[in-house]
Amino acid sequence: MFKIVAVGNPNTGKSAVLNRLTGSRMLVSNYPGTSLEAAKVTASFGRHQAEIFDTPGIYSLFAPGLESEQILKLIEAEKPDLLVNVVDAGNLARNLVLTYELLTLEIPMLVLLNQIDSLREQGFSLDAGKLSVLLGCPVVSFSAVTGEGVLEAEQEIESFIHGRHKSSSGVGQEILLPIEFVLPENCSGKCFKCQQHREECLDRADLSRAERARRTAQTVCSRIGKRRRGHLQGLQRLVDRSLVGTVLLLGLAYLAFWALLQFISFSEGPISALLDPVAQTLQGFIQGVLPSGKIASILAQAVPEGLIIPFTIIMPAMLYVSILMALLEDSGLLPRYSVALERVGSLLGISGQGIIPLALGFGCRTPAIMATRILPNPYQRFLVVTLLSIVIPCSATLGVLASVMAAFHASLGIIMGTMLVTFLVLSLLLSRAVEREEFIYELPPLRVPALTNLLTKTRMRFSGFFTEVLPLLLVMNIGMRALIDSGALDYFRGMDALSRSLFGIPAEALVAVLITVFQRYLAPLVLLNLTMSPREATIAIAMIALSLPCLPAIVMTIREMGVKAQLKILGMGLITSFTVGAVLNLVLPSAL
Amino acid sequence: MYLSNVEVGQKARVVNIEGKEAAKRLFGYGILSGTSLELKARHPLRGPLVVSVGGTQVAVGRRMAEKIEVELDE
Repeated sequence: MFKIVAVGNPNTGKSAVLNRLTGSRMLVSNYPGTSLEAAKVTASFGRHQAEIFDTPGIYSLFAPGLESEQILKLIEAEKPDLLVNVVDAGNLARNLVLTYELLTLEIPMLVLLNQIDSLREQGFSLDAGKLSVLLGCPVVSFSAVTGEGVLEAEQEIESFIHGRHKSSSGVGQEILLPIEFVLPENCSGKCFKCQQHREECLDRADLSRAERARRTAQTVCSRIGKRRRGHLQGLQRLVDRSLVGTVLLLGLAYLAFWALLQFISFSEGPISALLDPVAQTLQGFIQGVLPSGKIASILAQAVPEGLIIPFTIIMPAMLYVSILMALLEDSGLLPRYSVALERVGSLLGISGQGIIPLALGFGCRTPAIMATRILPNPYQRFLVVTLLSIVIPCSATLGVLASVMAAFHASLGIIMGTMLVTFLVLSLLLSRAVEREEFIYELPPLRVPALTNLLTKTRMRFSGFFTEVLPLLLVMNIGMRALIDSGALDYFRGMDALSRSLFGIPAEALVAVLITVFQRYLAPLVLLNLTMSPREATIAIAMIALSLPCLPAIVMTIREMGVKAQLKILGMGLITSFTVGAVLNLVLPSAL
Repeated sequence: MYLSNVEVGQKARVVNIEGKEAAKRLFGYGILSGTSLELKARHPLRGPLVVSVGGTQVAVGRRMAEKIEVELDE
């Protein structure tokens, strides 16, 4: 089949362009690093079918980073028949650097000048015909917003499929460059094909391409009128002021977080009222159908449990966070949060936007783990997911912990202090292992997100709840219930002496720590049945608060990062919990 | 002088970028020797600097900004 790879800078609206062209749903967000996987879709052009690969936005094929490496690998593996280079018409000089790099690959190429309408609004006109001559490949003025250029682009692609554009790549009109930018004679500028490129000659080729891009942009762009003020520009100027902007952004974030809590608590009642009879029917049905015994009792408990909890809490939170993420990405606000939160993040050794999922985690950790997709690289994601899993208490956990603390007169100050210290220590330890990149982000213009894009993104993310989260959760819930009912944990109950000497708590409380994967529902309940001194309770609660993620969070982590990452996190959780217990046991006075 | 010393509202031209890695990364954002830029905002507590370059705004961390040598425009 005819293969097309789409490449472009971040913030060029590449995904929107492809959605227009294919009429289908692809989801690669324009935010740097959001998706490391290339999305693939099949579309028809005329009577022909073509496979289109979307790729994450990059600034340069030679730039250090996973994305450019991955795109080069994709091109090597798929051997595309056509490259579609999506270019931001409003920022031509910079975008053309990548275009010139792509041309050296000597693969037929089509350039789409996206956001041509906003360029006109800025009072410029762009001569696509002239640009086509200079680049030596077809160029189409395009607007994903208005639909301008869609037909033309489709026709061009059809021509490529029919082989009518054969000699179209890389033979553009030569642009005269000042001597300092001219490449030495033995250099072709085709760095990908070059066997002997060294760092310095790559630098020279880079500079030469940048200068060529600048001159090309100058040649084809001309001012035709006054700049018309965009309606969001006033707001953008305010948001981009350092102090006012930060206050504004944090206020907005607080509002969004508050709305999340409201949304969860508002939806929990009606949903569980609706589902309670369903769960009871289900339970009755399972007990009725299966012969009574261990399996029946496990399933009768685990199946309704595994359905109700996700539906009442996880589903609304995940829906809300899906919408929030789409809004953040498409409005241009996300990189602004990175800037505003950069300082806070650097204290913890994470990038600024890592604060967003961490903050969401106080609402519900499961969708917060999904929200780590906004982070720039997998290492940062792992770090934030680990923090979320082990130290961040969600609102539900906080509520239950508070009631248990009250029941035993445990020390709130010591528990909160321990959590804070653990959070700092863990994040500093982990961030040591993760290399922090120097901070640099493009701030795209603020824009009102297109409703269709929002809906598509939200639907794509949220549908994972039904297809992946719910089934996996159900299965793991049954497994967990079986483990508890099997009495395997009773083994630990015999280790009272060990538990008391290490952590200063009864073995029964240690078992509660081990089943914190049921945190919200079971662990605190187990504690309530025991008699514990305030000291014992303080240690036990601190250990529970700083141990394992809940089952939905585990499922989400497996979905997002894989089983291996989750095992690492579980291991770290247990180590953290035991360390906290042992340290508190050593430090705390014998009577609280 | 370095980008980190430029005042908000001042315009400057890049004369040199120290360090290969920094130069490579900044290059992608259109910041290289000869580029004209204007400082738009300066975040407190040694936070990032926002510069406008070409048609876009780019936020640069303070340590990165300390590697960008500039000349103020008259």
